[in-house]
Amino acid sequence: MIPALDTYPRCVTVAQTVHGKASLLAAFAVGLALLGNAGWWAIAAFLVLTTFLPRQRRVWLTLGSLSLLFFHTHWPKAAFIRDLATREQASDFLVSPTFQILGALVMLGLLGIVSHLAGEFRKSFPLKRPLLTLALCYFLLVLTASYAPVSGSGRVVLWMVVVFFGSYFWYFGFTLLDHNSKDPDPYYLQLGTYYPVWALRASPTPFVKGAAYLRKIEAKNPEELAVTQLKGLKLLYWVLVLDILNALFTRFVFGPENASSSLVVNRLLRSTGWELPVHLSVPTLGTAIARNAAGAPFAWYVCWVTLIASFLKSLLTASLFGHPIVACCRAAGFRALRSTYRPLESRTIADFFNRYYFYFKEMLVDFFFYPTYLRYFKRHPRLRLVVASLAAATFGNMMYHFMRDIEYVDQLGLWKALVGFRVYAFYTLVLGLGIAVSQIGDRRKSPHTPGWIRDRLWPSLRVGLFFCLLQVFDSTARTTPLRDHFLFLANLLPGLR
Amino acid sequence: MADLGSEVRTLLVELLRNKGDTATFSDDESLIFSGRLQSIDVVELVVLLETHFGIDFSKRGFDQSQLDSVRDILQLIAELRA
Repeated sequence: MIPALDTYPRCVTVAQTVHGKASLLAAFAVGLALLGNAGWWAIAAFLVLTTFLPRQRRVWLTLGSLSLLFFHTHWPKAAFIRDLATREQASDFLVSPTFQILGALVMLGLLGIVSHLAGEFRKSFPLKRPLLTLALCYFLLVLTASYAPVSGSGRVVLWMVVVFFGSYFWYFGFTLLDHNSKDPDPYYLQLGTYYPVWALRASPTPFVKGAAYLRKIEAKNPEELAVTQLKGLKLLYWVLVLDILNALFTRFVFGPENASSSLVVNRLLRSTGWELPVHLSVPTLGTAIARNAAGAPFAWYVCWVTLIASFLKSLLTASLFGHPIVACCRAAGFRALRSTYRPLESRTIADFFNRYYFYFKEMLVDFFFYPTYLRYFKRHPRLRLVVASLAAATFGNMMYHFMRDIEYVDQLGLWKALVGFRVYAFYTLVLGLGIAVSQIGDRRKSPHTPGWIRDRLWPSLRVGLFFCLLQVFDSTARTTPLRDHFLFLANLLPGLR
Repeated sequence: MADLGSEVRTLLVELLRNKGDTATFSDDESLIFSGRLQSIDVVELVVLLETHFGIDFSKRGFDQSQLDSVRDILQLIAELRA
Protein backbone atom coordinates (compact mmCIF):
# COMPACT_ATOMS: atom_id res chain seq x y z
CA MET A 1 0.00 0.00 0.00
CA ILE A 2 2.91 2.34 0.79
CA PRO A 3 5.44 2.48 -2.07
CA ALA A 4 8.85 1.02 -1.18
CA LEU A 5 10.64 4.34 -1.67
CA ASP A 6 13.86 3.01 -0.18
CA THR A 7 14.24 0.57 -3.11
CA TYR A 8 13.90 3.23 -5.84
CA PRO A 9 17.44 4.39 -6.78
CA ARG A 10 16.14 7.82 -7.88
CA CYS A 11 14.47 8.41 -4.51
CA VAL A 12 17.61 7.36 -2.65
CA THR A 13 19.69 9.76 -4.73
CA VAL A 14 17.27 12.68 -4.24
CA ALA A 15 17.04 11.98 -0.49
CA GLN A 16 20.77 12.71 -0.26
CA THR A 17 20.40 16.26 -1.63
CA VAL A 18 19.54 19.27 0.53
CA HIS A 19 16.15 19.68 -1.12
CA GLY A 20 15.46 15.97 -0.87
CA LYS A 21 16.34 15.92 2.82
CA ALA A 22 14.18 18.98 3.50
CA SER A 23 11.22 17.47 1.63
CA LEU A 24 11.62 14.16 3.43
CA LEU A 25 11.69 15.85 6.83
CA ALA A 26 8.70 18.02 5.95
CA ALA A 27 6.72 14.93 4.90
CA PHE A 28 7.78 13.26 8.14
CA ALA A 29 6.67 16.22 10.27
CA VAL A 30 3.29 16.26 8.49
CA GLY A 31 2.90 12.54 9.17
CA LEU A 32 3.65 13.02 12.87
CA ALA A 33 1.20 15.92 13.12
CA LEU A 34 -1.50 13.88 11.35
CA LEU A 35 -0.96 11.13 13.92
CA GLY A 36 -1.74 13.67 16.63
CA ASN A 37 1.71 13.51 18.18
CA ALA A 38 1.82 16.57 20.44
CA GLY A 39 5.61 16.75 20.31
CA TRP A 40 5.88 16.55 16.51
CA TRP A 41 7.65 19.90 16.28
CA ALA A 42 10.28 18.84 18.84
CA ILE A 43 10.97 15.60 16.98
CA ALA A 44 11.07 17.47 13.65
CA ALA A 45 13.60 19.98 15.04
CA PHE A 46 15.73 17.11 16.37
CA LEU A 47 15.56 15.35 12.99
CA VAL A 48 16.73 18.51 11.19
CA LEU A 49 19.86 18.51 13.38
CA THR A 50 20.60 14.79 12.97
CA THR A 51 20.01 14.96 9.20
CA PHE A 52 22.06 18.04 8.39
CA LEU A 53 24.76 17.55 11.04
CA PRO A 54 24.95 13.74 11.16
CA ARG A 55 28.46 13.51 12.64
CA GLN A 56 27.15 14.86 15.92
CA ARG A 57 24.06 12.63 15.79
CA ARG A 58 24.63 11.02 19.18
CA VAL A 59 25.32 14.40 20.81
CA TRP A 60 22.03 15.75 19.41
CA LEU A 61 20.37 12.69 20.81
CA THR A 62 21.71 13.41 24.30
CA LEU A 63 20.77 17.10 24.09
CA GLY A 64 17.32 16.18 22.77
CA SER A 65 16.67 13.67 25.52
CA LEU A 66 17.85 16.04 28.25
CA SER A 67 15.82 18.91 26.82
CA LEU A 68 12.71 16.76 27.16
CA LEU A 69 13.26 16.97 30.90
CA PHE A 70 12.61 20.69 30.66
CA PHE A 71 9.78 20.67 28.16
CA HIS A 72 7.89 17.55 28.89
CA THR A 73 4.85 17.58 31.08
CA HIS A 74 4.21 13.84 31.35
CA TRP A 75 6.41 13.02 34.31
CA PRO A 76 6.62 9.40 35.37
CA LYS A 77 3.75 8.63 37.74
CA ALA A 78 2.82 12.32 37.99
CA ALA A 79 -0.77 11.51 39.01
CA PHE A 80 0.44 9.14 41.75
CA ILE A 81 2.92 11.67 43.14
CA ARG A 82 0.29 14.44 43.08
CA ASP A 83 -2.21 12.21 44.85
CA LEU A 84 0.36 11.16 47.44
CA ALA A 85 1.40 14.79 48.04
CA THR A 86 -2.25 15.74 48.62
CA ARG A 87 -2.79 12.85 51.04
CA GLU A 88 0.41 13.64 52.93
CA GLN A 89 -0.33 17.39 52.88
CA ALA A 90 3.16 17.90 51.50
CA SER A 91 4.60 21.12 50.17
CA ASP A 92 3.32 22.16 46.72
CA PHE A 93 6.93 22.69 45.66
CA LEU A 94 7.43 18.89 45.61
CA VAL A 95 5.02 18.47 42.72
CA SER A 96 6.23 21.52 40.84
CA PRO A 97 8.08 21.04 37.51
CA THR A 98 11.20 22.66 39.02
CA PHE A 99 11.49 20.01 41.72
CA GLN A 100 10.72 17.22 39.23
CA ILE A 101 13.46 18.43 36.89
CA LEU A 102 15.89 18.70 39.80
CA GLY A 103 14.92 15.23 40.97
CA ALA A 104 15.50 13.75 37.51
CA LEU A 105 18.85 15.52 37.16
CA VAL A 106 20.01 14.35 40.60
CA MET A 107 18.97 10.79 39.71
CA LEU A 108 20.85 10.96 36.39
CA GLY A 109 23.90 12.33 38.24
CA LEU A 110 23.81 9.48 40.78
CA LEU A 111 23.44 6.91 38.03
CA GLY A 112 26.42 8.50 36.29
CA ILE A 113 28.51 7.93 39.43
CA VAL A 114 27.34 4.31 39.63
CA SER A 115 28.18 3.84 35.94
CA HIS A 116 31.67 5.22 36.52
CA LEU A 117 32.18 2.92 39.52
CA ALA A 118 30.88 -0.06 37.56
CA GLY A 119 33.51 0.64 34.89
CA GLU A 120 36.34 1.20 37.36
CA PHE A 121 35.73 -1.61 39.83
CA ARG A 122 34.32 -4.36 37.65
CA LYS A 123 35.90 -7.12 39.74
CA SER A 124 34.34 -6.11 43.07
CA PHE A 125 31.44 -8.29 44.19
CA PRO A 126 28.49 -5.87 43.86
CA LEU A 127 29.72 -4.62 40.48
CA LYS A 128 30.36 -8.08 39.08
CA ARG A 129 26.59 -8.48 39.14
CA PRO A 130 25.54 -4.84 38.62
CA LEU A 131 21.93 -5.54 37.65
CA LEU A 132 21.33 -7.74 40.67
CA THR A 133 22.84 -5.04 42.88
CA LEU A 134 20.67 -2.44 41.20
CA ALA A 135 17.52 -4.53 41.69
CA LEU A 136 18.35 -5.14 45.37
CA CYS A 137 18.86 -1.39 45.88
CA TYR A 138 15.53 -0.68 44.20
CA PHE A 139 13.55 -3.13 46.31
CA LEU A 140 15.32 -1.93 49.46
CA LEU A 141 14.12 1.55 48.56
CA VAL A 142 10.56 0.24 48.04
CA LEU A 143 10.67 -1.44 51.47
CA THR A 144 11.91 1.80 53.04
CA ALA A 145 9.22 3.87 51.32
CA SER A 146 6.58 1.36 52.41
CA TYR A 147 7.53 0.83 56.04
CA ALA A 148 9.75 3.71 57.18
CA PRO A 149 8.03 5.81 59.87
CA VAL A 150 8.17 8.91 57.70
CA SER A 151 5.23 11.08 56.76
CA GLY A 152 4.50 14.37 54.99
CA SER A 153 7.06 15.72 52.54
CA GLY A 154 9.66 13.12 53.58
CA ARG A 155 7.39 10.29 52.48
CA VAL A 156 6.65 12.00 49.15
CA VAL A 157 10.37 12.48 48.48
CA LEU A 158 11.05 8.82 49.31
CA TRP A 159 8.42 7.68 46.82
CA MET A 160 9.74 10.11 44.22
CA VAL A 161 13.17 8.49 44.54
CA VAL A 162 11.51 5.10 43.98
CA VAL A 163 9.59 6.40 40.96
CA PHE A 164 12.57 8.12 39.33
CA PHE A 165 14.91 5.21 40.00
CA GLY A 166 12.31 2.81 38.60
CA SER A 167 11.71 4.92 35.51
CA TYR A 168 15.41 4.90 34.59
CA PHE A 169 16.09 1.35 35.82
CA TRP A 170 15.98 -0.56 32.52
CA TYR A 171 17.63 2.23 30.54
CA PHE A 172 20.48 2.33 33.03
CA GLY A 173 20.68 -1.47 32.88
CA PHE A 174 21.73 -1.18 29.23
CA THR A 175 24.43 1.31 30.25
CA LEU A 176 25.81 -1.26 32.68
CA LEU A 177 25.66 -3.99 30.04
CA ASP A 178 27.61 -1.70 27.71
CA HIS A 179 30.58 -2.07 30.07
CA ASN A 180 30.97 -5.56 28.54
CA SER A 181 31.68 -3.94 25.15
CA LYS A 182 35.21 -3.26 23.96
CA ASP A 183 34.54 0.45 23.54
CA PRO A 184 31.58 1.47 25.69
CA ASP A 185 30.15 4.93 25.10
CA PRO A 186 30.86 7.63 27.68
CA TYR A 187 28.02 8.37 30.07
CA TYR A 188 27.02 11.61 28.34
CA LEU A 189 26.25 9.62 25.19
CA GLN A 190 24.45 6.95 27.20
CA LEU A 191 22.12 9.71 28.45
CA GLY A 192 20.80 10.08 24.90
CA THR A 193 19.33 6.59 25.12
CA TYR A 194 17.33 7.37 28.29
CA TYR A 195 13.84 8.24 27.06
CA PRO A 196 15.21 9.28 23.67
CA VAL A 197 13.50 12.04 21.74
CA TRP A 198 11.72 9.59 19.46
CA ALA A 199 10.07 7.78 22.39
CA LEU A 200 8.84 11.00 24.05
CA ARG A 201 8.99 9.33 27.47
CA ALA A 202 6.53 6.77 26.18
CA SER A 203 7.50 3.77 28.21
CA PRO A 204 10.01 2.45 30.75
CA THR A 205 10.96 -0.11 28.06
CA PRO A 206 14.09 1.18 26.34
CA PHE A 207 13.29 1.95 22.70
CA VAL A 208 15.56 1.05 20.95
CA LYS A 209 17.70 -0.84 23.48
CA GLY A 210 20.90 0.88 24.61
CA ALA A 211 24.00 2.60 23.34
CA ALA A 212 25.68 -0.64 22.15
CA TYR A 213 22.75 -1.28 19.81
CA LEU A 214 22.66 2.31 18.54
CA ARG A 215 26.38 2.18 17.70
CA LYS A 216 25.79 -0.93 15.66
CA ILE A 217 22.77 0.31 13.72
CA GLU A 218 23.84 3.89 13.02
CA ALA A 219 23.86 4.84 9.30
CA LYS A 220 27.49 4.99 8.23
CA ASN A 221 27.25 7.04 5.01
CA PRO A 222 24.84 9.40 3.18
CA GLU A 223 23.35 6.59 1.11
CA GLU A 224 22.64 4.44 4.18
CA LEU A 225 21.13 7.48 5.87
CA ALA A 226 18.87 8.17 2.88
CA VAL A 227 17.67 4.55 2.73
CA THR A 228 17.10 4.46 6.49
CA GLN A 229 15.17 7.74 6.46
CA LEU A 230 13.01 6.61 3.54
CA LYS A 231 12.24 3.42 5.45
CA GLY A 232 11.29 5.59 8.43
CA LEU A 233 8.99 7.73 6.30
CA LYS A 234 7.39 4.64 4.78
CA LEU A 235 6.78 3.16 8.22
CA LEU A 236 5.28 6.39 9.54
CA TYR A 237 2.73 6.55 6.72
CA TRP A 238 1.97 2.86 7.24
CA VAL A 239 1.13 3.82 10.83
CA LEU A 240 -1.37 6.35 9.48
CA VAL A 241 -3.05 3.59 7.47
CA LEU A 242 -3.07 1.30 10.52
CA ASP A 243 -4.43 4.13 12.66
CA ILE A 244 -7.37 4.57 10.32
CA LEU A 245 -7.92 0.79 10.13
CA ASN A 246 -7.78 0.57 13.91
CA ALA A 247 -10.33 3.38 14.30
CA LEU A 248 -12.73 1.74 11.84
CA PHE A 249 -12.19 -1.72 13.33
CA THR A 250 -12.78 -0.49 16.89
CA ARG A 251 -15.90 1.48 15.94
CA PHE A 252 -17.34 -1.40 13.95
CA VAL A 253 -16.59 -4.17 16.44
CA PHE A 254 -16.81 -2.51 19.86
CA GLY A 255 -19.03 0.47 18.98
CA PRO A 256 -18.42 4.25 18.97
CA GLU A 257 -18.26 4.43 22.78
CA ASN A 258 -15.03 2.40 22.64
CA ALA A 259 -13.63 4.27 19.65
CA SER A 260 -9.91 4.85 19.28
CA SER A 261 -8.34 8.29 19.38
CA SER A 262 -7.39 8.39 15.69
CA LEU A 263 -7.02 12.06 14.83
CA VAL A 264 -7.73 11.63 11.12
CA VAL A 265 -10.86 9.49 11.53
CA ASN A 266 -12.29 11.44 14.46
CA ARG A 267 -11.84 14.78 12.65
CA LEU A 268 -13.38 13.35 9.50
CA LEU A 269 -16.37 11.99 11.39
CA ARG A 270 -16.81 15.22 13.34
CA SER A 271 -16.67 17.40 10.24
CA THR A 272 -19.01 15.22 8.18
CA GLY A 273 -21.30 14.17 11.03
CA TRP A 274 -21.13 10.66 9.59
CA GLU A 275 -20.96 7.50 11.69
CA LEU A 276 -20.69 3.84 10.78
CA PRO A 277 -24.28 2.72 10.04
CA VAL A 278 -23.84 -0.57 11.92
CA HIS A 279 -21.61 -1.81 14.66
CA LEU A 280 -21.42 -5.13 16.46
CA SER A 281 -21.18 -3.76 20.03
CA VAL A 282 -18.98 -6.68 21.03
CA PRO A 283 -18.19 -6.42 24.75
CA THR A 284 -14.59 -5.69 25.68
CA LEU A 285 -12.60 -8.45 27.35
CA GLY A 286 -12.68 -6.64 30.71
CA THR A 287 -16.46 -6.26 30.54
CA ALA A 288 -16.96 -9.89 29.53
CA ILE A 289 -14.77 -11.16 32.40
CA ALA A 290 -16.55 -8.90 34.91
CA ARG A 291 -20.04 -9.95 33.68
CA ASN A 292 -19.00 -13.56 33.87
CA ALA A 293 -17.74 -13.14 37.43
CA ALA A 294 -20.97 -11.36 38.41
CA GLY A 295 -22.95 -14.44 37.35
CA ALA A 296 -24.44 -12.94 34.18
CA PRO A 297 -22.14 -14.33 31.49
CA PHE A 298 -22.43 -13.66 27.80
CA ALA A 299 -23.07 -16.64 25.54
CA TRP A 300 -19.98 -18.72 24.77
CA TYR A 301 -19.86 -17.59 21.16
CA VAL A 302 -19.97 -13.92 22.21
CA CYS A 303 -17.03 -14.63 24.51
CA TRP A 304 -15.11 -16.14 21.58
CA VAL A 305 -15.85 -13.09 19.41
CA THR A 306 -14.70 -10.85 22.28
CA LEU A 307 -11.53 -12.86 22.67
CA ILE A 308 -10.63 -12.84 18.98
CA ALA A 309 -11.53 -9.17 18.53
CA SER A 310 -9.46 -8.21 21.60
CA PHE A 311 -6.54 -10.23 20.28
CA LEU A 312 -6.65 -8.50 16.88
CA LYS A 313 -7.06 -5.14 18.59
CA SER A 314 -4.00 -5.84 20.77
CA LEU A 315 -1.94 -6.58 17.63
CA LEU A 316 -3.01 -3.27 16.11
CA THR A 317 -2.34 -1.42 19.36
CA ALA A 318 1.16 -2.91 19.63
CA SER A 319 1.94 -1.82 16.06
CA LEU A 320 0.53 1.66 16.62
CA PHE A 321 2.63 2.03 19.74
CA GLY A 322 5.95 0.79 18.37
CA HIS A 323 5.93 1.82 14.73
CA PRO A 324 6.00 5.64 15.23
CA ILE A 325 8.92 5.30 17.65
CA VAL A 326 10.89 3.11 15.22
CA ALA A 327 9.95 5.40 12.32
CA CYS A 328 11.40 8.43 14.18
CA CYS A 329 14.49 6.44 15.14
CA ARG A 330 15.04 5.54 11.48
CA ALA A 331 14.48 9.14 10.43
CA ALA A 332 17.25 10.07 12.88
CA GLY A 333 19.60 7.70 11.04
CA PHE A 334 19.42 4.46 13.03
CA ARG A 335 18.49 1.26 11.20
CA ALA A 336 16.22 -0.02 13.97
CA LEU A 337 14.09 -3.12 13.51
CA ARG A 338 10.34 -2.87 13.89
CA SER A 339 8.99 -3.60 17.34
CA THR A 340 6.00 -5.50 15.92
CA TYR A 341 6.56 -7.43 12.71
CA ARG A 342 3.86 -9.69 11.22
CA PRO A 343 3.13 -11.60 14.45
CA LEU A 344 0.39 -13.65 12.79
CA GLU A 345 3.02 -15.30 10.59
CA SER A 346 4.73 -16.79 13.67
CA ARG A 347 4.99 -20.54 13.65
CA THR A 348 6.18 -20.91 17.25
CA ILE A 349 5.30 -19.30 20.57
CA ALA A 350 8.85 -17.98 20.94
CA ASP A 351 8.69 -16.47 17.47
CA PHE A 352 5.39 -14.72 18.25
CA PHE A 353 6.84 -13.23 21.44
CA ASN A 354 9.77 -12.00 19.37
CA ARG A 355 7.60 -10.48 16.66
CA TYR A 356 4.91 -8.99 18.90
CA TYR A 357 6.96 -6.65 21.08
CA PHE A 358 10.59 -6.99 19.98
CA TYR A 359 12.20 -4.40 22.26
CA PHE A 360 10.50 -5.68 25.40
CA LYS A 361 11.59 -9.21 24.51
CA GLU A 362 15.13 -8.00 23.80
CA MET A 363 15.25 -6.33 27.21
CA LEU A 364 14.18 -9.55 28.93
CA VAL A 365 16.64 -11.58 26.87
CA ASP A 366 19.58 -9.29 27.61
CA PHE A 367 18.86 -8.87 31.32
CA PHE A 368 17.50 -12.29 32.28
CA PHE A 369 17.74 -14.94 29.54
CA TYR A 370 21.41 -14.71 28.58
CA PRO A 371 22.80 -14.25 32.12
CA THR A 372 20.83 -17.28 33.34
CA TYR A 373 21.56 -19.39 30.28
CA LEU A 374 25.27 -18.68 30.40
CA ARG A 375 25.64 -19.36 34.12
CA TYR A 376 23.48 -22.29 35.12
CA PHE A 377 22.83 -25.95 34.18
CA LYS A 378 25.39 -26.04 31.41
CA ARG A 379 25.38 -29.85 31.35
CA HIS A 380 21.60 -30.07 31.01
CA PRO A 381 20.70 -28.40 27.68
CA ARG A 382 16.91 -28.63 28.01
CA LEU A 383 16.79 -27.64 31.66
CA ARG A 384 19.14 -24.78 30.84
CA LEU A 385 16.74 -23.50 28.20
CA VAL A 386 13.66 -23.92 30.43
CA VAL A 387 15.24 -22.11 33.38
CA ALA A 388 16.52 -19.27 31.19
CA SER A 389 13.11 -18.89 29.51
CA LEU A 390 11.37 -18.78 32.90
CA ALA A 391 13.92 -16.28 34.19
CA ALA A 392 13.11 -13.96 31.27
CA ALA A 393 9.46 -14.42 30.30
CA THR A 394 8.22 -15.18 33.83
CA PHE A 395 10.47 -13.61 36.45
CA GLY A 396 11.76 -10.69 34.37
CA ASN A 397 8.34 -9.98 32.92
CA MET A 398 6.76 -9.96 36.40
CA MET A 399 9.50 -7.78 37.83
CA TYR A 400 9.13 -5.26 35.01
CA HIS A 401 5.38 -4.93 35.45
CA PHE A 402 5.57 -4.88 39.25
CA MET A 403 8.02 -1.99 39.01
CA ARG A 404 5.99 -0.26 36.29
CA ASP A 405 2.89 -0.23 38.53
CA ILE A 406 4.74 0.47 41.77
CA GLU A 407 1.99 2.83 42.99
CA TYR A 408 -0.03 -0.25 43.99
CA VAL A 409 2.49 -0.79 46.81
CA ASP A 410 1.60 2.58 48.28
CA GLN A 411 -2.13 2.15 47.67
CA LEU A 412 -2.57 -1.46 48.83
CA GLY A 413 0.54 -2.10 50.92
CA LEU A 414 3.44 -4.30 49.82
CA TRP A 415 1.90 -7.66 50.75
CA LYS A 416 -1.46 -7.05 49.05
CA ALA A 417 0.26 -5.61 45.98
CA LEU A 418 2.34 -8.79 45.75
CA VAL A 419 -0.51 -11.21 46.37
CA GLY A 420 -2.85 -9.32 44.04
CA PHE A 421 -0.31 -9.85 41.27
CA ARG A 422 -1.23 -13.53 40.97
CA VAL A 423 -3.26 -13.18 37.76
CA TYR A 424 -0.31 -11.69 35.90
CA ALA A 425 2.05 -14.11 37.64
CA PHE A 426 0.00 -16.99 36.24
CA TYR A 427 0.07 -15.34 32.80
CA THR A 428 3.86 -15.05 32.85
CA LEU A 429 4.28 -18.62 34.13
CA VAL A 430 2.26 -20.07 31.24
CA LEU A 431 4.03 -17.74 28.82
CA GLY A 432 7.47 -18.75 30.12
CA LEU A 433 6.66 -22.47 29.91
CA GLY A 434 5.15 -22.02 26.45
CA ILE A 435 8.25 -20.24 25.21
CA ALA A 436 10.54 -22.85 26.76
CA VAL A 437 8.65 -25.77 25.21
CA SER A 438 8.48 -23.96 21.88
CA GLN A 439 12.24 -23.30 21.91
CA ILE A 440 13.05 -26.93 22.74
CA GLY A 441 10.71 -28.04 19.94
CA ASP A 442 12.25 -25.50 17.59
CA ARG A 443 15.73 -26.94 18.14
CA ARG A 444 14.62 -30.51 17.57
CA LYS A 445 12.32 -30.27 14.60
CA SER A 446 13.23 -30.52 10.93
CA PRO A 447 13.27 -27.15 9.18
CA HIS A 448 10.13 -27.46 7.09
CA THR A 449 7.25 -29.83 6.61
CA PRO A 450 5.76 -30.12 3.14
CA GLY A 451 2.62 -28.18 2.22
CA TRP A 452 1.53 -24.65 3.00
CA ILE A 453 -1.26 -25.73 5.36
CA ARG A 454 0.94 -28.00 7.50
CA ASP A 455 4.01 -25.80 7.28
CA ARG A 456 2.55 -22.30 7.63
CA LEU A 457 -1.18 -22.12 8.37
CA TRP A 458 -1.62 -24.79 11.03
CA PRO A 459 1.39 -23.73 13.19
CA SER A 460 0.35 -20.06 12.92
CA LEU A 461 -3.22 -20.89 13.97
CA ARG A 462 -2.01 -22.89 16.97
CA VAL A 463 0.26 -20.06 18.08
CA GLY A 464 -2.53 -17.51 17.54
CA LEU A 465 -4.93 -19.63 19.61
CA PHE A 466 -2.39 -19.94 22.43
CA PHE A 467 -1.92 -16.18 22.70
CA CYS A 468 -5.62 -15.55 22.17
CA LEU A 469 -6.47 -17.71 25.19
CA LEU A 470 -3.52 -16.48 27.24
CA GLN A 471 -4.69 -12.87 27.01
CA VAL A 472 -7.54 -13.82 29.40
CA PHE A 473 -4.88 -13.63 32.12
CA ASP A 474 -3.00 -10.63 30.73
CA SER A 475 -4.05 -8.30 33.52
CA THR A 476 -1.81 -6.40 35.92
CA ALA A 477 -4.75 -5.11 37.98
CA ARG A 478 -4.64 -6.29 41.59
CA THR A 479 -8.36 -6.48 42.29
CA THR A 480 -9.71 -9.37 40.20
CA PRO A 481 -9.19 -12.86 41.61
CA LEU A 482 -7.64 -15.56 39.43
CA ARG A 483 -10.92 -17.49 39.72
CA ASP A 484 -12.78 -14.88 37.62
CA HIS A 485 -10.36 -15.38 34.75
CA PHE A 486 -10.67 -19.17 34.92
CA LEU A 487 -14.46 -18.84 34.96
CA PHE A 488 -14.31 -16.83 31.76
CA LEU A 489 -12.05 -19.46 30.22
CA ALA A 490 -14.55 -22.18 31.21
CA ASN A 491 -17.35 -20.17 29.64
CA LEU A 492 -15.62 -20.43 26.27
CA LEU A 493 -16.46 -24.11 26.17
CA PRO A 494 -20.22 -24.62 25.77
CA GLY A 495 -21.63 -27.01 28.33
CA LEU A 496 -18.69 -26.73 30.73
CA ARG A 497 -20.46 -24.20 32.94
CA MET B 1 41.79 -19.53 10.60
CA ALA B 2 40.36 -20.42 7.19
CA ASP B 3 39.05 -23.76 8.52
CA LEU B 4 37.69 -22.08 11.56
CA GLY B 5 36.06 -19.48 9.35
CA SER B 6 34.35 -22.09 7.22
CA GLU B 7 33.24 -23.96 10.35
CA VAL B 8 31.62 -20.83 11.76
CA ARG B 9 30.13 -20.00 8.37
CA THR B 10 28.70 -23.52 8.01
CA LEU B 11 27.02 -23.21 11.38
CA LEU B 12 25.53 -19.83 10.52
CA VAL B 13 24.32 -21.08 7.12
CA GLU B 14 22.67 -24.03 8.89
CA LEU B 15 21.01 -21.78 11.48
CA LEU B 16 19.65 -19.48 8.79
CA ARG B 17 18.51 -22.34 6.56
CA ASN B 18 16.51 -23.85 9.45
CA LYS B 19 14.63 -20.57 9.54
CA GLY B 20 14.00 -20.66 5.80
CA ASP B 21 16.59 -17.93 5.16
CA THR B 22 18.75 -19.02 2.24
CA ALA B 23 20.12 -15.59 1.29
CA THR B 24 23.90 -15.34 1.16
CA PHE B 25 25.92 -13.16 3.53
CA SER B 26 29.39 -11.70 3.62
CA ASP B 27 31.86 -12.11 6.50
CA ASP B 28 31.11 -8.57 7.68
CA GLU B 29 27.35 -8.71 7.35
CA SER B 30 25.32 -8.20 10.51
CA LEU B 31 23.18 -11.22 11.31
CA ILE B 32 21.84 -10.50 14.80
CA PHE B 33 21.29 -6.75 14.68
CA SER B 34 19.81 -7.02 11.20
CA GLY B 35 17.18 -9.38 12.64
CA ARG B 36 18.19 -12.44 10.61
CA LEU B 37 19.18 -14.36 13.75
CA GLN B 38 17.09 -14.33 16.95
CA SER B 39 18.05 -14.92 20.57
CA ILE B 40 17.37 -18.67 20.26
CA ASP B 41 19.82 -18.79 17.36
CA VAL B 42 22.37 -16.91 19.44
CA VAL B 43 21.94 -19.65 22.04
CA GLU B 44 22.89 -22.24 19.38
CA LEU B 45 25.97 -20.19 18.58
CA VAL B 46 26.90 -19.92 22.24
CA VAL B 47 26.60 -23.69 22.67
CA LEU B 48 28.86 -24.27 19.67
CA LEU B 49 31.47 -21.83 20.91
CA GLU B 50 31.34 -23.38 24.37
CA THR B 51 31.73 -26.94 23.13
CA HIS B 52 34.17 -26.41 20.27
CA PHE B 53 36.31 -23.64 21.65
CA GLY B 54 35.79 -23.87 25.40
CA ILE B 55 34.57 -20.28 25.71
CA ASP B 56 32.93 -19.56 29.06
CA PHE B 57 30.74 -16.50 28.58
CA SER B 58 29.69 -16.43 32.23
CA LYS B 59 33.27 -15.51 33.13
CA ARG B 60 33.91 -12.94 30.43
CA GLY B 61 30.64 -11.03 30.22
CA PHE B 62 28.35 -11.43 27.26
CA ASP B 63 28.01 -8.96 24.43
CA GLN B 64 25.81 -9.90 21.47
CA SER B 65 27.80 -7.67 19.14
CA GLN B 66 30.74 -10.08 19.47
CA LEU B 67 28.67 -12.69 17.63
CA ASP B 68 27.01 -10.43 15.07
CA SER B 69 29.00 -11.49 11.98
CA VAL B 70 31.45 -14.17 10.87
CA ARG B 71 34.30 -11.71 11.34
CA ASP B 72 33.11 -10.73 14.84
CA ILE B 73 33.01 -14.38 15.90
CA LEU B 74 36.44 -15.12 14.46
CA GLN B 75 37.83 -12.06 16.20
CA LEU B 76 36.35 -13.22 19.50
CA ILE B 77 37.90 -16.66 19.13
CA ALA B 78 41.27 -15.16 18.17
CA GLU B 79 41.18 -12.88 21.22
CA LEU B 80 40.49 -15.80 23.51
CA ARG B 81 43.26 -17.88 22.00
CA ALA B 82 45.84 -15.08 22.20
